[in-house]
Amino acid sequence: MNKIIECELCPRHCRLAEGERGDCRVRIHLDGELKTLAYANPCSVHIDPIEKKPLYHVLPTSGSFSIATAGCNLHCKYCQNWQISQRPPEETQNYELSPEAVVREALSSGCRSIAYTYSDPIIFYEYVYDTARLAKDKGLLNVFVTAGYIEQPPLKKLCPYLDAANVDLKGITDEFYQSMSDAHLKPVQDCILTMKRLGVWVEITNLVVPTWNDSPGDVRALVRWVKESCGADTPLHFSKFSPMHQLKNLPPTPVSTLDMAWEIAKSEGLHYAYIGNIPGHPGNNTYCPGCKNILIKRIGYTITENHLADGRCEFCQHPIAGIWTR
Amino acid sequence: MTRREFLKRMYGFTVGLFALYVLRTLAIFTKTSEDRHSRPLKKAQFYRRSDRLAG
Repeated sequence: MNKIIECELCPRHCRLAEGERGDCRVRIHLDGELKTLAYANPCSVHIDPIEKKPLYHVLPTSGSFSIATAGCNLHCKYCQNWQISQRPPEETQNYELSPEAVVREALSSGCRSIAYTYSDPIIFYEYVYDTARLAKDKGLLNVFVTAGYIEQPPLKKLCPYLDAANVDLKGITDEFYQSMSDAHLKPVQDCILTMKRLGVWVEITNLVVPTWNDSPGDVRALVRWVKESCGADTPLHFSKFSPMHQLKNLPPTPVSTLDMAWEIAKSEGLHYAYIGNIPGHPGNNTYCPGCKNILIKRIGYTITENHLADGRCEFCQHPIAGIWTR
Repeated sequence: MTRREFLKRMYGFTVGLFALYVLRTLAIFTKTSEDRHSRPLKKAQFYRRSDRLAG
């Protein structure tokens, strides 16, 4: 008798007896089948500027219809959205929103993309998949904001419908992933590479956490991996950590640490390195890799100058990687 | 309305409000996530049946 179901969505491969839920809290073994409690059941629905994802090279200033359900397949000590990600769906206040309704609302609110975000969209995979297919038909972009802890077959099935992704590369050692998130590094790196290979525009975020992953050596190793494996045109966002969840004992990331990471990224030859969560910092801006002028000037999520014309620098005509028109 | 009557009404209102809060809390914690779905749960993708024990 096959009484156990093994989930093959993420590398955890939870093995579930009847009535048990996966580590993500939303996939449940019922009546001999694996079912999802997250389908059409979002707990967060917002319209965000796409810069908030952060995606700085995708339709700047456009609105992104953003949805999330409860649950997550990672349990990061520093989770910034733990109120929804570390809870099952019955402990959050949810909406009933079908994929059709999501697309309809996104269009009627003037958004140009749908973002699957806040918690990790991997755990509401079926909802993402059905919504993304409909959205693509209607000319909306699909944006995936994820930690990238997913198996390859489901990722490859989803990628044709994804336009852009921000993948959180939390650290560059397996030890970091094990101690911070009870996970492993390799599947995340594989996710990033598969997305790039299948034509998804990828930006990478690294949350710089004091004493955990803020040494110059760690930063340099991460930057080198991004440059060598993903290319110099891959945007890398260093984000400021705020004391949260199980790491309230740590201070926020000092600006000097983020400056150090930014300088390392530039010195290693990354074309687009950014600093996040510090509004007004020069690291919010996009600089032309050709003439070094400011192309897009940002204060937080607001753009105050834009010198891009048809995906090129207005000053020197250098092509700038990204999705600029639709 | 005398001050005493007013206080009695306020007391009744507060007790009523608290009772509603308790009932709502009980309702939340006695419902499972499956109960909350008005439609059948969606079948998930990417899984297989296995003989191996859950671990």
